[in-house]
Amino acid sequence: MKKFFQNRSLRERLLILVFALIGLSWWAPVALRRLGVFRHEFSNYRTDHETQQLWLSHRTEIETHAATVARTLEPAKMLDASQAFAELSRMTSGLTPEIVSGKTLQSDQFALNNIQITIRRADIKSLVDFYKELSARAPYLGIEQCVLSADRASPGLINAVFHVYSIESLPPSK
Amino acid sequence: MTQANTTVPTSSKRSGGVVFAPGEKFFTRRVSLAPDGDVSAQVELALEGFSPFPASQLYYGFRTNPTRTEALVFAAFRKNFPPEETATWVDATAVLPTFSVWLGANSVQPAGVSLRENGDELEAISWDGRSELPAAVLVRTQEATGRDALVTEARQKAELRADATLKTFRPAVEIAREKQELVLRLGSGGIEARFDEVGLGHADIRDKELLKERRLTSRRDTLLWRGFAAVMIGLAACVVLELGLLAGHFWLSGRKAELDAQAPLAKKIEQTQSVAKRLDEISTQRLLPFEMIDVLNDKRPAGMEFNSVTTNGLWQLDIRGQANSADDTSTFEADARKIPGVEKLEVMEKNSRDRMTVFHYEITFKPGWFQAGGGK
Repeated sequence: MKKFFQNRSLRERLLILVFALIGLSWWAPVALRRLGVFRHEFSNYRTDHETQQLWLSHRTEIETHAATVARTLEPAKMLDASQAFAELSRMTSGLTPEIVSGKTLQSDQFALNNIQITIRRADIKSLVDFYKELSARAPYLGIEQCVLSADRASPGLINAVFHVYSIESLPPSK
Repeated sequence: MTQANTTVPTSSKRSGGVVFAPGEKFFTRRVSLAPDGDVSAQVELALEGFSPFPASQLYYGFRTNPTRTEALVFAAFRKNFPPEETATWVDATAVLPTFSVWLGANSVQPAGVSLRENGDELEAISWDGRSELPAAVLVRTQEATGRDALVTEARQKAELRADATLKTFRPAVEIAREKQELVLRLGSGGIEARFDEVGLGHADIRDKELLKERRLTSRRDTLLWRGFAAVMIGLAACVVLELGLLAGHFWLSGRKAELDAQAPLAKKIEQTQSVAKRLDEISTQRLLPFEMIDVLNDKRPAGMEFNSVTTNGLWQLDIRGQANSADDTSTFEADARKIPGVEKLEVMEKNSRDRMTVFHYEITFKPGWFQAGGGK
């Protein structure tokens, strides 16, 4: 290649060099960018792979733990989303509730149904009664989070938002 | 001074890239130099002084000793070299006289004469024992002068005694490239001359301006070639990189397919873990917002009101409210901190305006506080 290059005239050599330089300056950044993208993808893959391996390697103990937890619960007392919705509607019958079903978290055996109840302008006694009735159904029905605030327009009345869960037993998958 | 021989001139001999011009066509002289001055200019000036021809009509070169206090100048009348002979010099790496092997200037040689017989050519080199450079160089064809006559003449030129040592050499000159140096060496060893780039430029007998121009051209060509080579290496690296990326993507897509195939199972295990953990928490610990509020309410002064209460996890209450006096809030904070079930009370905000104090507390209860007696 050296002989080929040296045998060209100065003009030809300059042109070859300029074209090669243009080629390199166009190609090198593109290739480096692609390398960066690949490194990013590889890094993501490695993280995902490590996470997946971690879960897979703990499969037996997780399933054992889940089975142990399952034995402490009575399937008969569990409520699916519809039953929980109906039960909460019944408990809040004397109030003015707004009940919304939320996201469900589930495994092979169980599902945790989330329901949001918003009660406006309730007196404290009604709320306490609802709370007591809800607490009696624990741990199958319980409060995940609650917000209580005084109603500014009606002194003595309270607005409340409860994030409630219900435990549901799922039929064994085939 | 040795005069150029006037016998039938022989032509230059080429060995590799180096052309050896017949030594018999050259006259030589060792001249003193001022070490700090420009060597080329001093040599040119000396040449003007001792040469019978102007420098423009000569092919000349020189070799300095290591300390640059002396130089051996060698020159030949241009007309002694026919155009067809000099035409072969154009692409040569260097054009040197045949006796260049004696110009090593490595160390001071003992006084005596070195005689080399090279075919029908005789080279007599006189050393006066005072310099690294020869005192005289005589080159003749054997036809033109006898061996003994030449040795006698060489001794006279260097003002040596008639019985001064004579060493005879026969081997041909070998040429080698070592690092950046051109090395001329007698086959028998011992005698060696090394020319670096500068030294070779000085010793080359071709027109100095032409040489300078050639050096510049050569430097430019080298620079262009190196630039081109670097760019080509860069392009080759790009090709390698692209091929590597192609292979990498192919490999990675295979690995990702494996990952995707196992993803549902991993997701299922993860969900099982989440549900089991949550169920574990639910069955052992419950959020007790009303019980927590009840405990705090007992310590609440009459002039203090809770406007909103938000649970944050199982054990934390976020309380915002107002009080008629700052004293009430201080009393509440002190009393609440004394509740056995309360782990800590943090005042996130407290402002007083128009005799009204607005507060924001974050109150954390101890895990399992209610089962341990409720903390009242």
